[in-house]
Amino acid sequence: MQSKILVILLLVLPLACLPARAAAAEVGSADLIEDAARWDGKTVSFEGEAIGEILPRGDHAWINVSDGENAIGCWVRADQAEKISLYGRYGVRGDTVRLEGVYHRACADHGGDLDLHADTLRVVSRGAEEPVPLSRPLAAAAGVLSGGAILLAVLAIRRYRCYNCE
Amino acid sequence: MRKNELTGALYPVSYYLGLVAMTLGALQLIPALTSLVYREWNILMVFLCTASIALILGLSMMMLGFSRRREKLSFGVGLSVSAGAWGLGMLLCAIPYRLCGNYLSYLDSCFDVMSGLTTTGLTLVQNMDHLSNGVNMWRHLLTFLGGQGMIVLALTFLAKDAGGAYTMYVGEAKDEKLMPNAVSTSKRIWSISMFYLLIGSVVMSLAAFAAGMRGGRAILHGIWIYMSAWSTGGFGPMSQNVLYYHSALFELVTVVFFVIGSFNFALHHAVLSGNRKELVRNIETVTFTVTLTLTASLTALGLMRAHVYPNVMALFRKGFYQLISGHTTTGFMSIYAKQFYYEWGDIALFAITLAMLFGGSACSTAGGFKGIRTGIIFKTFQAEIRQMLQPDSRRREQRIHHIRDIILTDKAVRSAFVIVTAYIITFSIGTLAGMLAGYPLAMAAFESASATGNVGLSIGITAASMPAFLKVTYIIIMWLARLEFMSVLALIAYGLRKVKRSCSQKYW
Ligand SMILES: [Zn+2]
Repeated sequence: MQSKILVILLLVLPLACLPARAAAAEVGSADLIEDAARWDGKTVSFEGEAIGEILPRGDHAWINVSDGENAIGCWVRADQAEKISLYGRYGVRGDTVRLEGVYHRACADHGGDLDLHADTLRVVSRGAEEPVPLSRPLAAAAGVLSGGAILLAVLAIRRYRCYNCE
Repeated sequence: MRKNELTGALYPVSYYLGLVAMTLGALQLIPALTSLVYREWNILMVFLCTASIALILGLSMMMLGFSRRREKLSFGVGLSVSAGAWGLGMLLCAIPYRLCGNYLSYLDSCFDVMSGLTTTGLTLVQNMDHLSNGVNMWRHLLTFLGGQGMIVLALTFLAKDAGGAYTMYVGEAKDEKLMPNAVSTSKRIWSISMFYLLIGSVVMSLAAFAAGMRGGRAILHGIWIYMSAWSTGGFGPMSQNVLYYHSALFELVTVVFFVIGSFNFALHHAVLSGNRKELVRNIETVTFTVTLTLTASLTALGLMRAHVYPNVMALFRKGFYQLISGHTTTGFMSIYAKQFYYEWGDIALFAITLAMLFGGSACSTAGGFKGIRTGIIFKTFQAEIRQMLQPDSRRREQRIHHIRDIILTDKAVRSAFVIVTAYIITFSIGTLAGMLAGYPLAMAAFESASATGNVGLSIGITAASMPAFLKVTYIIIMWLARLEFMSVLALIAYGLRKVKRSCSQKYW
């Protein structure tokens, strides 16, 4: 009896999962913006780098996720957003996240924003601090040029000291 | 004799252009400082290099012309200085952009500088979401300075050397006289701006804080968005522009500041001096109210017919926001550029294109036809129609109210018609250029109106991948429109006259 149930479960479970998986089509930001009507209200799967910062709204939060072409506003639960440790900015590559949820061309709850209400959020890969190395030629040029500018300024002030007393 | 006059003028011209270069060099120390605070060492080095280049060039030019700086500049030379200042300023300010690595070419860098200085807001920057604080400071500073006028800036720091100052000032298109002379006018403009900068940055930072930002970022974004709003510029530090913040309050605060920024400085002066009534009587605020109501209704009609937004709130935050941002020639966006084209439909696009051309007030940071000209033209039509209906009645003189009641002269009417016609011609040429580059009419017209009105809303044409000739066309359009054509036309006429005269001397 038990084994029969197990068999049935094994058969049914993948079937039950299949439609959900199939519905969450992988989309890029360009699809969402330029082919909005097609994806409106559908469950989609979107991947990109979390940028800027988390914008908390009570038990939810906004995160902006960029796939390199555009950043898309994603409405997530606060506990989901906590999984993200790094947000992209200058010198920082943010965590890459994959979100699955319902896409809205013009969200009725959020003032018509084009957004994605995430059901799941998964960190695909961790970001990293990527400090831009100091370019030595640039630093040398900066040294020489600012030296020159200061020298010239001193020279000009000495020569025209009586600027105001004419 | 004449040759001496020309070469003689070179010295004071060198002095004034040097002054502009030096000022721009000194200003680059602000983004340099920002980079220092945030330990962006490479960007710091970039700004040290470019500030030094501008300072060295500026100081040398000033020293060259120093002894003859007080010589009076003729009208034509004054105009040349004004035009030269824009060219030199663009080339100098674009160097840090090119060196920071976020622009693909020097042309793209120049485009962004011109867009900033003319308070337009179209941008070709790459990877904006990872842009350094230093470069962001420079972008927003440029747009803020552009709003005040580069020459005004030079004047403020050099009150004593006001020799040819007024001529240059007129060349800057802000010919309103709040005070008896140009220097005190520009000082007044600066003190009004600084007053608002302080309050505005605090309020905007609080709005950023309320939107969920924290610490230094909330303050920086507050300052930048304020600078951009006040100067009706439209730059933002993130690629999503105002949409990034996902906050109705934040959007509302920007509206307040860019609407204030689009009002005439003379109106600010009047209201700040206690004349509150001027706010409802002024021809420009009246015109703005009428054209805004018309275009907003049309936008709402278009968006509702196409069922673009699900409810009134969305219609307001998307439809009305983009419209008023366009009408005040700001260019903040809370939708993606392509959404205009794919979703808005022809009626709403037509309305917003029209609004961008109408623009804000004269003598403000806004662009477009300007309220006073639209108002004068409307009054003239009204008078003509009345004349047709009652041909026997004596022609009454037309009056407008701008600070005081002004009798409308034929000269003022002609000038309004000429300049509005110049805007329409420029807009048409820009539209044609867009279509030549392969874009459909609606897109080409929208982007051209945005450049012509110094707005900065984009329907998606402005991108690093667009053809170089279109970038150059938009650069020229933004510049011509910002200077309101007349000083550029006067400069060309002056040049032609000079050439003609020297030719006739040769042959007679
Ligand atoms: Zn939503």
